[in-house]
Amino acid sequence: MSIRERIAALLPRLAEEQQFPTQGRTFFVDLEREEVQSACIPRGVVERFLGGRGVNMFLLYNLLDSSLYPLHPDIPLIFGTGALTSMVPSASRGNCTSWSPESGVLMDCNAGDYFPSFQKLNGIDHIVLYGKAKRWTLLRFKDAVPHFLDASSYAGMNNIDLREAISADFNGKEGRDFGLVAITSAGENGVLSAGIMAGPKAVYARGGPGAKMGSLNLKAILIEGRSADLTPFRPHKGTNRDIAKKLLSTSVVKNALKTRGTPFLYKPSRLLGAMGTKNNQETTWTDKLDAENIDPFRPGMDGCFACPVNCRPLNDLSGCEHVPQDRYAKGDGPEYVTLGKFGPNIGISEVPQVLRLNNICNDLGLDTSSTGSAIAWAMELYQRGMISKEQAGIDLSWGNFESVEKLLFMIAAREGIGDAVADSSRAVQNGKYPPEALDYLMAVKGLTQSDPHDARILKAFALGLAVATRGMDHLRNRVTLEINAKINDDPAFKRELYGGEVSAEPNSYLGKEIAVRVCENTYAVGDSVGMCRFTTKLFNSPSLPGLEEFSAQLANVCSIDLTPEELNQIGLNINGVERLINASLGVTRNDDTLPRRWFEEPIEAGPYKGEKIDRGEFEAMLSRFYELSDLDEQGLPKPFFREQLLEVLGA
Amino acid sequence: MTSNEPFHLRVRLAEPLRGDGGEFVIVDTPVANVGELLSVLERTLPDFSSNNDELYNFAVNGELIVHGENAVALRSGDEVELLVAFAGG
Repeated sequence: MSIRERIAALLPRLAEEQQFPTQGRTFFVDLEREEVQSACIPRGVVERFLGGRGVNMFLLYNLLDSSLYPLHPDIPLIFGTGALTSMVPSASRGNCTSWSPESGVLMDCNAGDYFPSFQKLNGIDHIVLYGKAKRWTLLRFKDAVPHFLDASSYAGMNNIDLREAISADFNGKEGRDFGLVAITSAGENGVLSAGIMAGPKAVYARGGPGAKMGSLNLKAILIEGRSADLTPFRPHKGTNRDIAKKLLSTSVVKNALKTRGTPFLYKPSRLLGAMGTKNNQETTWTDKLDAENIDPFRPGMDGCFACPVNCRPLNDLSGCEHVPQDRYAKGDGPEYVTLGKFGPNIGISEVPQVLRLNNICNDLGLDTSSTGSAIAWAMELYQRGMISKEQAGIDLSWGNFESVEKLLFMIAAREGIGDAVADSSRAVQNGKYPPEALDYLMAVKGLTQSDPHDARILKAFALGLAVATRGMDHLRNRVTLEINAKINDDPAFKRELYGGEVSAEPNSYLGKEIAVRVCENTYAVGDSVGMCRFTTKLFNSPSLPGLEEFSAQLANVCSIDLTPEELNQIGLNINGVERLINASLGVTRNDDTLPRRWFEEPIEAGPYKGEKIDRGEFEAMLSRFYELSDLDEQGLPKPFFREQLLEVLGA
Repeated sequence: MTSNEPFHLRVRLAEPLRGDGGEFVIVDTPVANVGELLSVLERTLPDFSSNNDELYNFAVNGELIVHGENAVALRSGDEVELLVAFAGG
């Protein structure tokens, strides 16, 4: 069945009319034929998958032809906005979903800034894109009506120039007059770690969405409509005020995220001996990259649509003698992920150098997680002689800042060794590196690790990275509170938080599956309502808004009555369908694992020196996790659960 | 550190816990472990106990303590730090 036949079969199962007061439409956009159809997601589907990530999965499950390949134009690229996006403080997120060209499994990435809110405020809940446009195209939604515009003049542009050009051409300001997502030259060139830029820094990052969008000849999506005119839903104002107060009074927001942002995370990981260094060959690094040392370069903070937190640090290297004074001397970021991936992971120890590389990645549209990991992998292969000096063409020694800067541009252009690094985790499969290079690839399900935290110590982190449906990524289920001594040392509180016995010892395997299960459910619901992970309960604080608040606001804003328990089941449903999608792409229990290094090489620094992952204990923990998740021994929904899912999924 | 030197710990406080005080506090009351140190800090620093929530972990001699905090033994001359500790970003 072609994608058009699949959509034709799906449309009669969708609704013509709005199913609840704030619901928008789902647009099916044929880029090749420049045709559009639209419908509404039925209430029954919403009550099982909510919106955003959850409904994206419903759509992908129904439209995916796993006999094709990720960059085939019949494989859809789907943008979804959360059920509460733009209408609740800090809910400014949306998801982008497809079959990943980077990992080969499910692609599902999440971003904020302004685009998802403009989607929601303009009544565009989901956009399903397919077919290859005949020319570079800008898809413009004006008053929620799509138009196909020639984007040839934007081809080759990177993020800074492109956003300036579109602002000038459409006579508006991003965030006030329009929301925008766009790819850069890296996406056009099929770089597998290319993201879709949703702002100066915000990015749909993981799994190669930029390459996927580029393969459809789609340069950008513009949604116009002044946000100030598009906020009609106010019955929930009182509860929103309570949520905002709750956010701003939470310690992690008040004392960390609002002041310095996520770079605060660097120091605890370093002092635990869990800071991934030199492709995780080592686990501790210099104190020169501690968050306080970024202070002199941080002129202020920025934030996403209607978010009271403003956790995004800006940077300004003006006058810094260590780096060139050009367009990359100012920027947005870095997040902890970038600090780690472009600091210790590649052997760099100077703040200005990390900031500059961060700014270049933002302009080139490169996912700093995958790009930093791919560079670290190449550096280790260079160290071990698996990439020769001749093949590299540049010095890939650890910490060579000048080489890394040059390499970023080579990756985006797929030039020289940059062509191999641009293949990210697929470089061996694509014949760029020898097979033995896979021994040093820090990836799960084909996706390199999202964050720099080495999870050989904290076993809940390790399990989360192993079972995450999009690959080795902490944002799907991380039990971050495992690092907090006060919570670990309060068994009653911990038991109540997770609904079961989770060992107080972070390096124990006991009960960790319970905590991962609870986090995975909560975060899947958070993604589906559009809440930022940083302000979702259990991610960094037990006091942030969670299922209870989501339940209240779904009722107030959307007139959808779902109890916190029912929302928890929805979290399980979403992960269940993600596992069904992955199974159709060949994923099995053997893929719910960790890199070889973490099983075989012990940590050599810090209070947990000698720690590694025990294979037997890990497999037992994985089996317990499956049992708790209504999954069979292969990690697939058990028959009764599968039946429940298929009842709604159809197909 | 020789045995006839008076007991002392140098404690570095995370910014939000400093109040009107400085970055470092010298504790010269003999304490055997982190739990006892905590009691001293709560007694001597205004607003400390109301702000010292789950966001803050102790590190002793450059190593982060992630559980069994109160029982961690301290010796005179140890470097103790209370730092912002979170793990999701």
